[in-house]
Amino acid sequence: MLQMIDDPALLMARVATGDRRAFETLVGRLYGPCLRIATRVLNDRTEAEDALQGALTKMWTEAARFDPARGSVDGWFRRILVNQCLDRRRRFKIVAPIEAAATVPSDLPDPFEASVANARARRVDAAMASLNPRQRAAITLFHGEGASMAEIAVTLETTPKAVEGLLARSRIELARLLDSDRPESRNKP
Amino acid sequence: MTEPTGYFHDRAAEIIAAYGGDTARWPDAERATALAVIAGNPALKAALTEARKLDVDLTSWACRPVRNGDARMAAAAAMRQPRSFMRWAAGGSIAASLAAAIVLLTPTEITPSTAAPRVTVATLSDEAAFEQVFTLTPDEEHLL
Repeated sequence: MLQMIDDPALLMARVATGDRRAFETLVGRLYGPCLRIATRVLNDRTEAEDALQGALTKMWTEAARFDPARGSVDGWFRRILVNQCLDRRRRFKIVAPIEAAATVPSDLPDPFEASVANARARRVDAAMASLNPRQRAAITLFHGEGASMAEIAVTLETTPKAVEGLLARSRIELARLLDSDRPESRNKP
Repeated sequence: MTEPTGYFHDRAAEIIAAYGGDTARWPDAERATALAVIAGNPALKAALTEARKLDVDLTSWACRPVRNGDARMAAAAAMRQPRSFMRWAAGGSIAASLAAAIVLLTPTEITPSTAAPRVTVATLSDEAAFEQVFTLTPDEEHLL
């Protein structure tokens, strides 16, 4: 029966009444994409899993607070998740390790191309690690989730104009870092 | 009243910086004007080209898959926490139990620490009781 319910808002209404199977179904839908968001924001897999667990617990214990008139389940949960991520960063002040570039998967058939792509991915990872989690959250939501400025503003609890500024500063900083890391830039006197 | 050219130039630069090179994601109300300004400005054209290169990096970073986690285990762990109303109910029932325990364990009459007079008085006649109370004991006699 629950497999047939495709509307997250309906599932959420069941979760609010304590329906455990509805909760499992909803978690099955949200888990993968949200783990990716948390991993990108925190730049650390273990921390991301902990933040996601905290967000899921909140979704279960605070289910009755969800109001479908105020937005989607995905948007509501994303805001809880990003808040969990940002709170963790504020509490623990962790300097996250950059994911090993060797683990970056590549489906390029040519080993040389794959190697170049891996090197580029490693440079992007290093540049991303120098941003703050809020900047990474904005980039993740805009470029990874296709969220609009208004949606990101809701998630980050700010204004669309502020998100524009946040994204612009992040992109300018990233462009500068990636440009300075190019071989031709390093060889300049 | 027309906007100064500098305003459009600055705004077009801001849009590129914030939104990147995918014009479909630019604000609908500003897209046409921004594109017209960029078409006549080589510096903005170059900025747009650079923005598109950066978009590729950012999209591949943001969309890079992560190793799967165990959603079922995470759901089970989350459900081990009591829900809000259950926490409230649990708190309420603890408070109610404590209140009931206090009421039930509180004695309804104060038991005197010396029970002898009550027992004795209850079994004596009025005269005998009077006599017991007002007859001096040998210890009391020497006080007179």
